[in-house]
Amino acid sequence: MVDQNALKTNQVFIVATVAIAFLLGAERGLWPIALLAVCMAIGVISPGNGPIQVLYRKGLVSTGSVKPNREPGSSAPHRFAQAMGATCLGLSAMLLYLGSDLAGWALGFIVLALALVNLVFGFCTGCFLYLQLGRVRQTARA
Amino acid sequence: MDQLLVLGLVFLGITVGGYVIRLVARRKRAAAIASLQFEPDAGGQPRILSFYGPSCDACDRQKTVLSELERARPGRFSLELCDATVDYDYARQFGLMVVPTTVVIAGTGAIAAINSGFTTQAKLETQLDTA
Repeated sequence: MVDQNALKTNQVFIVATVAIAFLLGAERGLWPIALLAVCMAIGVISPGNGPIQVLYRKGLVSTGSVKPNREPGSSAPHRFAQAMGATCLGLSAMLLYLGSDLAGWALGFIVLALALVNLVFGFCTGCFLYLQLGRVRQTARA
Repeated sequence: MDQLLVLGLVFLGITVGGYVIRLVARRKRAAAIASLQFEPDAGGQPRILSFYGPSCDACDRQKTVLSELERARPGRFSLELCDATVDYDYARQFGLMVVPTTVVIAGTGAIAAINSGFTTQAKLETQLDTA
């Protein structure tokens, strides 16, 4: 089962953090991006225990602000998408730290764009890539 | 101020661009689906074509629902299971974006419904009744 509202909370966090980081500028903005990358990486390594997921469960669900919306489905594609996002944001923070602002923001904005597309249109690019990779693996095996 | 403008333009671009792409994709998909016509069933019975994929929990649940539907309606419809990762080109004809996807085909050969994602037994029963 996949909690759609947990995924949406995650996407809102990504969009908001990258937008705020951009407004703060490269020097100060790299830290929120690095922190977000770490939070997402924890969520990938230990599913359900990432800081955003914990905040969603203990801060939003337990107070009744948001109700879980569990739908049948595999969580693996979403974890893959999150791993992709964490990697891009990690690289983005690193590039910003090294002074390559344009490349750093480009990577950050790719993650923002994909999270926004998922939030507004419900299309998960990372999940789509995961399924395509599964298909390629299957074809290679056959 | 410049940063706010860039951010606003990015948000606007993604939203407007996304809507346009979705609109075009939906129209293309609707046209492609409308052109699909299957051979009419000899007995005039509806069919369900179920697309699944490997390592997919929801697909396993969908198969269970379909088995229960077969038990509840023996001989009143036929079922075809299809691995979307193997018969990829066949799946693409239906604009398949997710697995499981179930396609309900009327006895006349026309497509009655395409369900993206897990579909309940009740919904499938309604679609079979109206097919």
